[in-house]
This record gives sequence, structure tokens and C-alpha cells, in this order.
Amino acid sequence: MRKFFKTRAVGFYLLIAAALLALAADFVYFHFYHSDAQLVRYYTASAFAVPFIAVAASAVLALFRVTERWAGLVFFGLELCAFMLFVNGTYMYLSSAFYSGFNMDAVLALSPGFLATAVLYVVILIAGAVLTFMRMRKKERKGEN
Amino acid sequence: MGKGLKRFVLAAKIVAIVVSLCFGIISVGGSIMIANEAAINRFFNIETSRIEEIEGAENIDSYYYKSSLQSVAAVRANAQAYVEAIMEEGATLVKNEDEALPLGEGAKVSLFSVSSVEPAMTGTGSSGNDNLSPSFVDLKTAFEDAGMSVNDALWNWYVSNKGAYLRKASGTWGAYFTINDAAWNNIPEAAKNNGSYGDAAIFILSRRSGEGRDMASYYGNKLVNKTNDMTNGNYLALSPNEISVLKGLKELKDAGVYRRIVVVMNSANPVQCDFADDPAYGVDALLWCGTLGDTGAYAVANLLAGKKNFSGRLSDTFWKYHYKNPVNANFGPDAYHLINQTTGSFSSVETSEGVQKTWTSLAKTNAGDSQQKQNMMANSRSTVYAEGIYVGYRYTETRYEDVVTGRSGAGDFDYYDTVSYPFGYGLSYTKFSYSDFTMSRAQQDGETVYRFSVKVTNTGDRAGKEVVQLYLQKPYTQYDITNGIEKAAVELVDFTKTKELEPGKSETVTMSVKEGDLACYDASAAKTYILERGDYFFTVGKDAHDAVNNILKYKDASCETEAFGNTGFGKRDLVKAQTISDTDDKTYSVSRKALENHISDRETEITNQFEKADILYYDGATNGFEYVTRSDWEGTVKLGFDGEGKCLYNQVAVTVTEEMFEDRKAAMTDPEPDNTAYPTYGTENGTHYNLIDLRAYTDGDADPTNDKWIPYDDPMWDRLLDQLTWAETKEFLSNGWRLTMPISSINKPQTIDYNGSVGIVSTYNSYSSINNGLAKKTSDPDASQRITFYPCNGVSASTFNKELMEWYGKEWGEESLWSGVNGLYGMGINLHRSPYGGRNFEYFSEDPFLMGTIAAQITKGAATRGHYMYLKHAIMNDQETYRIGGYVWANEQTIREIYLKPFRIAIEEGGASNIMTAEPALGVNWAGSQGYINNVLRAEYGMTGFAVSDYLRDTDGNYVQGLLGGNDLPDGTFNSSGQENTIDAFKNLTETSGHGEVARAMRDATHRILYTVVHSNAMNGVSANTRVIVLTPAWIGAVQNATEAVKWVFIAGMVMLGAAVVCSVLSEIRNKNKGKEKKGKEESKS
Repeated sequence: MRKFFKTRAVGFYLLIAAALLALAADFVYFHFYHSDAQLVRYYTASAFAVPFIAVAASAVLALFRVTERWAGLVFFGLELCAFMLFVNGTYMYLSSAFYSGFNMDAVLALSPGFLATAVLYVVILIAGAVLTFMRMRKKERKGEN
Repeated sequence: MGKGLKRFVLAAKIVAIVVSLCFGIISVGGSIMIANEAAINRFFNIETSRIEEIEGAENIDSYYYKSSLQSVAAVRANAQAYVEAIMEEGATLVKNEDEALPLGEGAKVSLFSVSSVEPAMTGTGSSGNDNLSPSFVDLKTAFEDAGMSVNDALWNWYVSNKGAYLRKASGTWGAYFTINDAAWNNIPEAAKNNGSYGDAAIFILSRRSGEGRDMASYYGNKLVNKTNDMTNGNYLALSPNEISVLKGLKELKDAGVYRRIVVVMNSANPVQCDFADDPAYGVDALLWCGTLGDTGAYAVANLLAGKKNFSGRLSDTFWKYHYKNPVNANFGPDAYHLINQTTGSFSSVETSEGVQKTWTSLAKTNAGDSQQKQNMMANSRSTVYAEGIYVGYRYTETRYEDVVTGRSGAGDFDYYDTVSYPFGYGLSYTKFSYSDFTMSRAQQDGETVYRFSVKVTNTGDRAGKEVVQLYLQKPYTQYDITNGIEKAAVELVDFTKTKELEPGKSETVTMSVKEGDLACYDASAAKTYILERGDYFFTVGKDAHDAVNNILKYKDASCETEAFGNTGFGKRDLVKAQTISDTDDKTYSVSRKALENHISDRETEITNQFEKADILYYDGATNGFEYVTRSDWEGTVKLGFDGEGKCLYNQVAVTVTEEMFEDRKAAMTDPEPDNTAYPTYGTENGTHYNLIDLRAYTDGDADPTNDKWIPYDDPMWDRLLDQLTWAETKEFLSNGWRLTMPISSINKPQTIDYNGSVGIVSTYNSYSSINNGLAKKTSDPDASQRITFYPCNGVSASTFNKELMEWYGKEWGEESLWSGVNGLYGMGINLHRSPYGGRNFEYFSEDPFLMGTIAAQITKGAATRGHYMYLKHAIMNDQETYRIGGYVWANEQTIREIYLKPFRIAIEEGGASNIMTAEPALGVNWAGSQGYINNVLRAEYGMTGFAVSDYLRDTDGNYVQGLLGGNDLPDGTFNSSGQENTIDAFKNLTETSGHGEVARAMRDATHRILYTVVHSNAMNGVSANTRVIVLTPAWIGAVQNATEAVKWVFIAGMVMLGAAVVCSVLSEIRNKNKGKEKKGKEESKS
């Protein structure tokens, strides 16, 4: 185990951080979209489920040399799916919020639950895009790739 | 891995990210755009159908509804004249101590409060506007136009500082409004203490609200109150800062700076009037003007100056304290009781087997239901209309009578500490007397009609108009008590307004009442309308309280209200009595309206339709709840709050029972196939019919405006409907978002239907918004002007002027012709159940008769220009906060006599054809899928048109069940099913799915929609010599092409990625094998 972690690169730990952030975002989404009366009708179960798949799949891929270089991209791809499901489920909330025009008052009145979830998704996607190009394993001596 | 492979993998990753983002954004964005195609087309004014003349065809006059005006400028001038006329006749003077008013032309006045520079023009939401419109006339301009002078220093100070006193705490939809007026000490001394403008200190007391949120009240509403500036959290009471200003003005008045203090209540919702007679404030005059509309300020100024005379009468009771209104105990978000108080969510019920069920498990009954529908049930709330029929004056005047007559259980009720100004009250600058009140009976159209006349004389010294109100008292008998029938002491049954009478002049006015209006609804024993035996009293009164006093005096000449310190009230000669000797439970138990309107081939037997809307239907749903009853006021009237701030907490808590759960589940479940016959589709029987062929019989003259309509049940309709295909029908009923779809095969044009309970909503519409409007067709130079904002509907009701309201409706019709908006999601005829109702500015009154009659007149007027109304919201959308997903409960008598009555009058008397169904559930079932649409509105009242849902995404119901119940169109186009042009709810319906009953309901819905449209101004320009071309906007094709293209690019990217993955994995395996080989060789060497 120690040897395993000794050979992990920054990308691996960033993947762990991104995965934890994805789970946190999921919790935020679930909590606010079940407790905020403005948001309840826009909850999408698939948007909640997909990040779990993203975290699990990328974690498994990251464990094996043969597949580790794809862990970041898979994480990004599945989180992008989750984000699109979230957008598809939530856009009508924005339609209601900005019904009478896009103005600062309407922006300030947006639900904190929606804002938090949206911001977290954007951060996660950026992290995922970066992770796509990061190594999971430290560069070994000459001869290794 | 070699360098080449590394580069390939890197490129594949970059490509994968880019194409994934593109694919995600474009496909999801495109899907959203297509699902909201109608909204996008409307927003960008993209034409989706066009009427073309057939080449070479004869030119015929196909304008069935013609404008009587020549230009947009004329329409606008007319509209603004109506704004002023309505305000002039509807603004109501309620206090005028020592003839403080009129001020006289030339008066010099000071306007106080931030609202003086930013008054309430209208409410907010789908029928309102956030800001003042460009056409708005401010109070200073209006006052100066009336010949008065305004304190400039004070005005300018408020203008410069209004930014520090913002009154709206959040966005427009569901906006929070605060009061946030400037305190007395903040106003500069020189500006406020200015005797040069001392003829009057005029305090503008404004309040605003709108769609999506009720006003803050004692009962929590738990709103953000950024400035914490309300008294006891009550938006409809003076705030501490407002109190400081009035007290300051009183001091200055006492010091001789101001000669009088006038308060102008600029609010659709009345502020409680405890301040009006409080000597601490010294208010000399108080008038109510609702919300002003564009130019209503001119009328207010003219009234204050005395250039015009008041003739408005209150359309609501003005309470002294709102907490004394028993309705408020079950109003507001706290009244929406959450079933599980611990978790705060409506989540579970125990069954007889002890198994916990949840609403979310109910939601999963229909696999594949949109997540949105499932979510709708997760957070449901409930309110019980515990007060029954006793809303507004029905409560105050009835309990007053019972206290005076000493009825058992009347309890402790001080009328004069409860009501400041009764329903129907209003002062004038002159005085009127009534005499020669007569009553006669006659037969008219097979029904007994009571006719009344009274002579009205102007006994003052100024010209003026008088409103004459006719009230009825029905007998409250032991039968009523036994069977739970409630009767108010008085109810308004007719009204009229004199023409302007010069001093000393008289006019004899007439009114009438059908005998059917004497009937009451017996939900318990007869289960229908009964005309009960007993003594009925008719009286003309100046207001509801005056009417009760007349009747009290008539019944007992010695009756005096010594307890209240009032003597000498009541006029016996203004009362007529009629005795009904036997109870009749037959005559009014049937309706012929549907038969007369050709929508049915038989009479309708009237019986209970709302048993499941009564919470008492469900055993165990409440704990000892009783509706308010006149037989026991003391025991059943539970005020929610006392004057010392203690909440008595008498809201009715509703518990979910197993039976409610099962009823809800049934209502949400798609109907099973019944395998009955489908209607005929896609068949022509010799002649091809176009919709225009079904409009009217040709009478041989060239004038199409006087043709006789083809009735609803003419066999030609069947032949037309047979021509439509299944696909056309499905598509037609899949999209009702502010329109009805075009159907090219029968040359049906698209209609545009828009919001606007107070006229076509101006925020979103100019006269040039829609291509079919005259403004666009004639290239009118003023086409870009916004449509007019009118005063709130309470002011319209307060005119009590039927003729004016019919002309007002004609003006709406003109705006319809010039703007191209064919139908209007208005009249708003939900009740002013509570003064805190967020959309009260859209509704008319606490009295259903007044509201229904005014609405009928406006509807009739609009129909002369081919403009059709959707009465909204059917029914009981009397509260805004948590209306979405809310459940409302009331008993049958209350629903029929109070909440449905305005609909009945507007349909039967005004010919209103359409409704918009409400968002809340009635009982456990969405209002849109209740059988009452078919069984009451159509079968009993004879409604010929169609029902559209409220914004579909907000309604908590099954749309297919809605079709069966009578809701014809969805206000929405939600299509995520992937089936082209088909609403999600229809995804399992096909020609062979066995849903014969649903298919027949779809045909009926189509019939009703086509019948309405063919008799509207949407058919202007459509004739046998034109055709309707359905257009597909270019952007839809572009979106579809882009989605298709990006799909292939995505596939290509994934193929590249796949190749990179395979190569990379193979390379890793090869390297690993090489490594093993090398290691093996080294080991064998050593």
C-alpha cells in the first residue's frame, strides 16, 4: 500500500479531491433539491446517480496501469453527463426566476441551492478537464512510459 | 508508449473533451429549444402561420370583427380615457371630516411618503409590471393639471432620496415587498414644515404585491423583511415610519401649518383602517384608489380638487384590524399545514397494515413519468376554507345581525371595532335620498323575476352619481341548521348607477332578480339547489351594513342597536318582503343552459360534484374541525391572532389518510386502455370542410358581421372533425402555450392568447408584437407603443357601473384587434378571500355577484370585437404562496355559492367561453382534472369553449386525466419524449393503444377549441378564398441540423478516442510483457 501511494502522482490526488468534490456536490444537490420549495420540482434522480458512477469508474480505472491514463477523461465525461442532466432538469427554474427579465434583483433572488450546485459542477468539470491530461503515476526511470 | 502514440492519445483526449462539450451543449440546448419552440417563436415574434389569398379568387369581405377606431393613437387615447373614467368612478371616498374635501382648484398641497413619487401603478407577475410604464403619469403632473400646486422642495427631496427607500426586496416573480418609507425625522424641516403649501398634507399610502407571493401578515409568511419596518410583521398596517410621519403631520396641523390631513390609500389590498379615526393621526379625509394604471392619477387629482365628484363604492370590506377577519386564520403559507410537523415534509401515512407509504412512492406509480412530475408531490401543502361562505361582509354583517337580535352563540363581537368601512360604502360631495321603493313579480322566459324600482334624488348642492345596491336576506331556518346550510344576513343581488344628477334632480332606477337567485345549495339533504320556504327580504341600501339595518328595522320596528351606541338607523320603507310558502327542491335542481347552447341534448340534473373537496369527507383527516356556522359563532370562529400579539393558532391541520392517498394515486395515474371505439380520423365524406365553413350561415348580404352562427351541434362539425388525422389531433392538443396551433388541412390559423387580468399585459406586448394585429398590418406609426395599464380590478368593481364596464370591455376588444392578441388569460375572478392575497389586484371583489357581473360586462364588451376571455383561475386560486402543489378544501355550498358564482354569472350572463384551470388541487386532485369542468361549467352553466391549464409545469396533475375531466389544452409544450410535436403525457397514446375514452375526449377538446376560434377575430381575413400556410421557422431547421452534425462529430471523436484507448492499452500490455521477458532473461543470466 505504501509503495502504491509512493508511486502516485499529483494527478491521482487531484482525482481524489475532484471525486470528493463531486460527492459533495451531489449531496448539496440532493439536500437543496429536496428541501427548497422552489427547487423540489426540478430534482432529477439520474443527475444525482451519475456522479457516483463517475467516481467509481474513475477510481477503478486509476488503480491499474493499463487504464489509469483514462481515469480523468472518464471522470470528466460522466460528470459532463450529470451536468447536462442537471441542466435539463433545472432550466425551467431559471425560466421562472427570470420570467420578468434578467436583472440583478432576479439574480440575487436565485436559490442558494441552485447556485451552489451550478458552481460546484463548473469547478468539477474544470478539474476533470485538467485531470484528463495529468498523470496518475509518477514518472518512472528511463524505459518506463 | 512511443512518442507518436503519446501524441495520438493526447490529441484524442483533447478532441474527446471538445466534442463532448459541443455535443452536450448543442444537444441539450437544442432539445430545450425545441421543447420550448412556441415560447421562442412568440418571444422573437416569429411567424408560424400565414393567411394567404388564393390566386385569382374573388375578393370578399372577411373581416368579421371590425375596429371602430382608425389608429393606434386613437386606441391609446381611448384606453387612457377609460383609465381615467374608471378611476373617477371607482376611487372611493370613505372619510371626509367637516368637508375637508374638495380641496378646490388652486389649492397648494404637500405630498408625503416615498410612494408619492413612486406610487403603485399595478401589481407584478404575469398580469402586471415591475416598474412604472413609459406612459405613467405621476402625481405631481396630475395635481398640477388639476390646477393645484405641489410643494416642490418636498417632492424633489423624495425624488432625490427614493433610492435609499427601495420597497421591493427581490425579483419580480414572487417579489417580496417592504414598506420602507422615510421616517419623519429624515425629512428636511424646510421641506415638510412649509405653510405655503399648507392647504393639505396628502399622505400617499401605497402597497404592492403580485403573482407568486402573498403579502406579509401576522401569520408569519416568514418573508425576508430587509428593513424590518413592519408593525408586527403586518404589511397591511401602518409601519413605524409611516406612523411617525402621520404623527408629525398632526403636530404641524395643530400648529396651523397644515389645514387638513388627507390619506390616499394607493393599494389594491386595503390597509387596515385602525388609523383612520385615531386622534393621534388627525386624518381628515381618506380615499381609496387601488393601483393607478397609466393615467389614473389625473382622476385622483380631479376628485381631490373637486373638479369631479366621487361615486365609487367599496368592493371589499375595509377592516379595522385584519386579525379580526376569521379567513386569515387559514390563509398564508402557515395555513398550508405540513403533515409531518417534525420533518416538515408531507411524507408519510400509516396504513391499516402499519406500512409506511410516501408520496414519492406514489410518484413512482407511473414509470417513466418525468422527474418534474414526481417532484411536484414531494412538498405538498394544504389549506382549509374553514370560514365557509362567511367571507368579508357575509361574516361581519351576519354576525352583527345575530348580536343585535340576540341569537344564541353570537358571542362577543363588536362590529364597530371590527369594520371601519363596510362593503358598498362610499361618500360623495353631495347627498342622495331614496324613496318610492317598489317590487313586482313577473314571468320572463319561463322564470319568475322580481322587479324593483326606486327614486333617487340628489339632495345636495353638487352634481353626482349614486350607486343603488339591492340586497336580499334569505331565511335562516331550523332546516338549515339541521342540514348545515349557511345563510348570510344579506347578499348583493343587483345594483345600478344613476346618470349624473344635478342638485334637486331625481331618477327612478330599476333592478331585477331572478327567483333562482333566491335558492340556496343544500349539499346534505336535497343535494341540489332548493328554494326554501320562509320570508325573504329585499332592500336597497347605501352599503351592506345599511341594508342589514333596514331589514332589522323592518322586522322589528323597536329594534335599536343601543349596545353599539347607534340609534335611529334603518329605513323600513326601503324593504320589501316576499314569502315562499313551500320549499321547492325541483325547479332549480335542473339546468337547461347546455341544451340552450347546443352543447348537450338534454337538461342537466344538478347534484353534488364537490364532495371530495370537503375535508370532512375523509374520516380522520382533521381533528374535531367544524366549519364556521351561524348557529354557533362563538364556538366556530377562531381568530388566528389577538390584538396583543398572541397567535391563537386555529389553522386547520390536515392529516393524510389512506383514502386520500389512494384517491390521489388514482388521479395521478394514466388511464388504462378501455378498448372502446375511437372517433373517425382522416375521412372526408364528399365535401372538404374548412374551419371558416363552420362559422356562420350565409345570409346573402356582403356584411359578415351580422351572420347567424352555426350551432355547436350542427352535423357539419362532425364532418369537419372526421377530417382531422390522429397525428393532427395529438399535435393540436400538445401545445397550448399562449396560443392554439394552426391546422393547415382545415385552414385554421394560429391564435395568440396572452396574459392580462387587467388588460393585455403591457410588459410583454406592444401593438406591433404580433403580425396579425391591425397595427402591424397597417404599418401604424405608433405600433411600437406599449398597451395600456389599467387600474386594478377592484377599482373597476367599485364603479358599480355595468354600462361603463361593457364599454371598457369593448376597449379591450379594440386593443385585441390592433395588437393581434385574440384571447386573454383574464378575467381574473378568484375571490378577495383575504386582503393579503398577492394577486388581489387582478381580481375584483370579496362579493361573487359584483365580481361576476362586472366580469360579464367586460367579457360581453370584448366579444363585440371578437376577443375571447379565459376566466381564471377555475377554481379557488385565492392565495399565491405555495399555490403550486397546494391542496385547497371547501364544502359544496361554499364552492357553488361563493367561488363558482362569478364563473356562473360570467358564463351565463356574459357569454364567457373559456377558462384557465387553477394550479392548486381541489381536495387531492388537480383542479384541471376535476369533473366539475364538464359537469358544472359546461353541463350546468352552458360554457361552450375550452379550458387551458395554468402553466403546465407548475400544475400538479395528470394531463390525460385532465382531458377526461374537461381540461382541453396544456399551457405548455413539454416534449421530452422524443415524439415529434407530442406532449410527454401523450407518449403512450396511439390510434391502437385502446384509449377510446381519451380519444373521444380529445375530439371534444378539439371541437371546443375550434368552435371558440371560429367565432373570434382570429378568423379575420380567413375566407373560402384564403388558405392557412403553416410555417416552420428557420431556426428549428438550423437547430436540428446542428444537433445532427454535432452528433456525427461526436461519434467521430469517440471513434478516435476508442482507437487511442485500444492502442494505449495494447501498448501497455506489450510493454508489460516486454518487461517480464527482460526480467526473465536477466534472471536466467544471473
